[in-house]
Amino acid sequence: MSLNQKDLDLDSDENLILLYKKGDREIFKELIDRYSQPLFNFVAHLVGKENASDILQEVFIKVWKNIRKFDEKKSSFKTWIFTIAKNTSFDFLRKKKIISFSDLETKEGFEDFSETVKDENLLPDKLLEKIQDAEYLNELLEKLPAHYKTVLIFHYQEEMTFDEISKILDKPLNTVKSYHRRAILELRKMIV
Amino acid sequence: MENELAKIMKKAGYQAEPNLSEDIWRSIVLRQKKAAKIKLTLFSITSFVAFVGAFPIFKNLATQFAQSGFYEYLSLAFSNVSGLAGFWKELVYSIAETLPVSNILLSCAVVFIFFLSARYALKQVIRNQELAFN
Repeated sequence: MSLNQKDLDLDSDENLILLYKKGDREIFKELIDRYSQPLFNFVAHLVGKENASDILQEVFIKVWKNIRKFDEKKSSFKTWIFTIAKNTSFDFLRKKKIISFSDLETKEGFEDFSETVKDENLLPDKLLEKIQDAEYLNELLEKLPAHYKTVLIFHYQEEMTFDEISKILDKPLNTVKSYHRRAILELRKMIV
Repeated sequence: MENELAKIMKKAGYQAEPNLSEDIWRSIVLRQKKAAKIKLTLFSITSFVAFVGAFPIFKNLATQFAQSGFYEYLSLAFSNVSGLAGFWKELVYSIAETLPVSNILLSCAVVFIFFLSARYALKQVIRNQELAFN
């Protein structure tokens, strides 16, 4: 059975990959166009804006080399590509010794007032007003540990669910929720 | 809090250079071209070696056929067709025994390698042509 672009809904990443696997090589450019901006934003927050373009290029080359191994039954393409971006960025940070492996495993036993504050009160409006400036917020985000930052970017900028984030980080759902809570609390601490 | 934070976070996103996608695509095309060229070279060399190697192998095969008595048995089969009915089984066995099996297998392998590598080399030529338009 032959497939062509008219037969498929091209909004779906999985259909684009199907066409690519059937020999339409040009369709890979569409995937690059679709994901370069969100991936750049994510990677830039992790490795810095100056290194982001190189890392992103590496990410897309890995995607291009492994796209035939992508299995849509296991995960969505978005989850898969962000996992590759996360791993590539963390590898870069490790190589540059900006963070050690243990730094990626955030400290457990963060048992201060975090567990007693209700979620909706973590960042009250008064504090939110203080981070309206994008540059200031970026500065604060840069100071956060890699996993906390990742959870915030995925959840608020990429609109991913905690379940999707847990798949990308390969962590249990509760751990991701805990990262989210702690990330907000870290932000709160820095703002105050 | 969630909605408000989402709004603020979205404003804080880093913007990529406008030509970033194009640059990434170009670097991938370059890699594809490079990979296609390497494959073309390797497959061309393999098919050339198989082609050149086929001459002594076929020559050896012909010698083996001549020395094994295969042609004699075969001519016997055609020279005495009427009397063949009585000993056709023995004749078939004898013909089969005289076949230079290892040489035949080697020749088949060379032909197979030649056609396969030539096919892949041709594929890479087509691939290079496609990429040249990008």
